[in-house]
Amino acid sequence: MNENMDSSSENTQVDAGENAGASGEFSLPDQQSEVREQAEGKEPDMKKSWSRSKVMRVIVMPVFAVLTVVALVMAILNLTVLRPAQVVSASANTNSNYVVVDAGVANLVADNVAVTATIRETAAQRSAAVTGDENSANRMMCVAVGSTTDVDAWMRGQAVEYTTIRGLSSWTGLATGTVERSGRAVRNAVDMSESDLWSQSNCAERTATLRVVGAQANQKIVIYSPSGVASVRMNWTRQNMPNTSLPWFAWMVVFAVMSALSFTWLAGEDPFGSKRRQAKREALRASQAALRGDNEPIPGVDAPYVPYQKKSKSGITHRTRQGGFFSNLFGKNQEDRSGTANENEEEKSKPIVVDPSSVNLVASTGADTTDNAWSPSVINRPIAAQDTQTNSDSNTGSGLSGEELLEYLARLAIEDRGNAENSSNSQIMNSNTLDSDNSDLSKFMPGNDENSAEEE
Amino acid sequence: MNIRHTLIRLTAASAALVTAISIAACTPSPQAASDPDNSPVVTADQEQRIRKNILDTINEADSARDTNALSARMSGPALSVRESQLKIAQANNKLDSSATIPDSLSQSVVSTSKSWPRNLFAITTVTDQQQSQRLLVLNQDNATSNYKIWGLVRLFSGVQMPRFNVSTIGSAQGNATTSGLKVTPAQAVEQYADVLENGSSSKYAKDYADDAFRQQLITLTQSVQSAITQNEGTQTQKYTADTKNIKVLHTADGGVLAVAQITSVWTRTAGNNRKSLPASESEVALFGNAETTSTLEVTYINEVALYIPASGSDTQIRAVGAERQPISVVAR
Repeated sequence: MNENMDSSSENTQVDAGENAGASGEFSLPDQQSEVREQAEGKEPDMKKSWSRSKVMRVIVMPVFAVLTVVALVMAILNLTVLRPAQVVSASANTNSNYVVVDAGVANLVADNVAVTATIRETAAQRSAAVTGDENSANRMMCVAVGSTTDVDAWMRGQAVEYTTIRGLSSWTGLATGTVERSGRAVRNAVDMSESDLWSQSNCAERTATLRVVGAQANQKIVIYSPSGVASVRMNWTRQNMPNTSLPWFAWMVVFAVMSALSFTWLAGEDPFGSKRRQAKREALRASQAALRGDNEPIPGVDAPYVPYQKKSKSGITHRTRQGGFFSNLFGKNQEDRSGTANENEEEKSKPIVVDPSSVNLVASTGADTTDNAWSPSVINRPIAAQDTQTNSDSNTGSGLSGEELLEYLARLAIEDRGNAENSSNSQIMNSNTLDSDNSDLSKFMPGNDENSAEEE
Repeated sequence: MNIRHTLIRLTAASAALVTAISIAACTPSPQAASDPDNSPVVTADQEQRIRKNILDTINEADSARDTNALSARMSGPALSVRESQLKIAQANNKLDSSATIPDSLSQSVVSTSKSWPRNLFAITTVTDQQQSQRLLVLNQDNATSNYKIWGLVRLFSGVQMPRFNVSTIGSAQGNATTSGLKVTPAQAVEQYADVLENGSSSKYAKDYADDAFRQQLITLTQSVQSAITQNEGTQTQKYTADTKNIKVLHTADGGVLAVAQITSVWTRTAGNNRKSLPASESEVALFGNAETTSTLEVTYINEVALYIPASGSDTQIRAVGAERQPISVVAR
């Protein structure tokens, strides 16, 4: 639709450009109708006043401006209030003696993680507990880290049901699962607190914390208490803080640039130079027409111009398409051009049909009454048909050169030689002038007219 | 420019905005990785902690002369040797200096085996009394048990040890039937036992480099022989290799260091109706107050560490360390 708006103003683009440049006002899609209405004293139809420039400055630019402000606010918030926390803390409640943190969880958020586990006990047990009493062994909590192979082998040797921590259910919660009991427990297994399997371990009464620096993706963490594990908390300490404000700043710049462009360049009359090039073509056509004095199409000027457009394989683009389903969308590109240009375009689009039988060969040569088909003036006839008589008599609008005529005549002679032998001499007309009826080709046979007379 | 393109761009920008916000709210997913192949089974800190725990247990048992406490951190021939040493120490009220295990580490050789049993070799520094380095052979039977010292040999003074990969890289673990060597570890231990028993007349003698342990045995046998000959007595030594329980770790040059137990029985028979008596303080302590006869049978545990080169090598098989301890003295 916009293209129609642009194309419809081609004829008056100079005026429209002057108006737009002078006052910055919008240009109307139908300048002629507005001029007519103004001449009649009527107000221009406001529904027709939404040009591209107005849309850019009234709608698009404010939208980008608002987005710019929003992006700026979000960027500032991500630097202050919404800044990512250095420590990510997530926890989960469990209900088993063993808890295993799956591989890949220890270094999920950062390489430095602290795992804190607390035993399960009632309030009465907690109040009655004394450090080092006979139940202190039951209140022991151990947290250890080992390789996947070692932890899996250890758990197989325990043959108990246990809880697994599989990741984050949210930024504050741990996702858990349950592994069923399998296998048979190994006899005389060492205590977890004394096992040599763990690369790191820490055991304490009630609550134990293990800090792992440089956690690997293949490491698992085992948590155990004879009293059961009530809760597990994992605190990841980030060393490299993610910069969440940078994308917002980037968007802010983009929106700001788009806002400025929408108000200035994109709102201009001819931001991409299409009208300037069209005007240039018109001027060149006019100058060429003045020099040549005709309205012949000028190659490269009247040919359809397709800027910035990839040529299709079929050679047809939307700017050159003359027909088809969407032809109406672009038909206005042709309607506003001059009539001569349209005619030339139409002429150029139509195929050139040559009907040898309808060609007035002699008339097209410009020969006089004394010339015949073999006269030099006929043979040396120029290619371009400049005779008005030829144009009026012929429905093709084009003539044949002398050499082409000669070849044509020779061909006819060969074809009709057989008929000429059977025909009587009385059918040969002794005339130096040819009538306009060119259907009887026998008059052009060798030996006719003067030749035949000589033979006799 | 047209409105449609502008609206499309606005829509795309909004979609990107919403997407960015949505992505920012998602939690990361775990990226689990399997254990890397051929990686050491323990870290350096872990090895140090293990060795410290073992030595603490042994030292406590040594101090208390408690042989029962040794089994928590010792096994195999090392346990038998240590029990004998403690028994002798109880009788003599003095622990032999050969039982000293330095705390300091010279080199550790860590296995890369993902399965069990797993071995660790630890080469200590010289003792405070400038005795030779010790080679500790640690063994873990399964995941639910701890490492124990399975073998303990004294390295020969000035011996040329084979090179191993550093502990951060680890060494491949072998067994009694490991191939790709001049002979398998089982064959090597059996052949070496024959060399110990028959000396230079052994058909395998040329394949084994001379070493201090063989020389020491030859010297001891010759000295006892001279005494027995005067008494018209006889002596025999029978060496039997344990070809199943061999601890093997690969060296950096394609060979292996194999530590094995060779049990020997030394039978001494005194002639002329004489009584055969224990020949050393250790034998006396082990024999105790038992009644002597003309024949004395002393059982020794010999621990040997053999370097076996890769097949095709011109280097001889050589012993780099050994330990010999009587564990029983019985009158027959």
